[in-house]
Amino acid sequence: MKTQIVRKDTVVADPPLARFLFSDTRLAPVWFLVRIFVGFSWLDAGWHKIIDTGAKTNYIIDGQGILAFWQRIAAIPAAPAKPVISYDFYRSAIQFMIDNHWEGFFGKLIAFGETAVGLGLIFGAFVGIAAVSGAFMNLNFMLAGSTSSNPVLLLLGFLLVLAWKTAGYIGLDRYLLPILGTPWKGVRVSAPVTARQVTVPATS
Amino acid sequence: MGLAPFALIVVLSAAAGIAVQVLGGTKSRYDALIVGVTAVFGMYFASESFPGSTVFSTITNFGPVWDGFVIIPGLVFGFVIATIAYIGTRETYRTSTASA
Repeated sequence: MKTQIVRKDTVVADPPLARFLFSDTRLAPVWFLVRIFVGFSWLDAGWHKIIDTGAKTNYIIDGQGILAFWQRIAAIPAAPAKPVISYDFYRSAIQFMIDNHWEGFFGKLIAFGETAVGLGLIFGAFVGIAAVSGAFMNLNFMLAGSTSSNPVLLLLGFLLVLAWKTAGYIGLDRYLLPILGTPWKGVRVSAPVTARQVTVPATS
Repeated sequence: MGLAPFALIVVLSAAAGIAVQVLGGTKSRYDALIVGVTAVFGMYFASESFPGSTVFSTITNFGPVWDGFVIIPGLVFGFVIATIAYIGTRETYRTSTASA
């Protein structure tokens, strides 16, 4: 018999500054203001799409608005003008969605998704998930050649993702996350698990 | 928003923060800072963002405007989020004393 050490559950601790910025409830008021700013931007954008009932601009009736946007960004202009989309894979994906008439589904998904992200951030409900969803939409809008406010919202979205545990502390996450197991009310003390001794039979 | 209304926002927010610190019966040193900063943000943000937003598109008249500062939504939203931030952090900075 010989004893072999099997390392398991290695966790790299955050430095104190990162803990203070992203895990400390004392910074919750800062993230509260960031949430309001980013959330209202998403809510405004989403609500604008929901209430738009124009025949050529709507997102939730038959998606003609997003179809027109897709057709504009997927077009390849004559040289020397450059296409709006830089990456061919993304243009192919947009063209695939145009060809298969996915505008009806994606119009609703984007309109209600933006609104949901905005409400989630404003009320502080599942901030991490809302921020990831928002950042993903920002990424897609930028891949589609739209700059606007997307870089700023993407950066703030990243920061909210990093601070997901405390960003919703002044909000519904204060009650939702503990239900899901986030330990805000003290650390659950248990035996430290740094290494485990495993006894294996010696080979002859 | 002009400089004069922004200065007024800062003064109002500082006054609110000091009032909370002095009159609120609090123990934290940061209540004035939290209330003051959130109130400044709330007033400025509401004044700049709400009037042109589709979220509030049904509201046609936001009331009096002074040098770019839309007074009513600014004051209301500043008060609301400063109050939320204050209530949300009331227990965050408190020091508890354990008795034997």
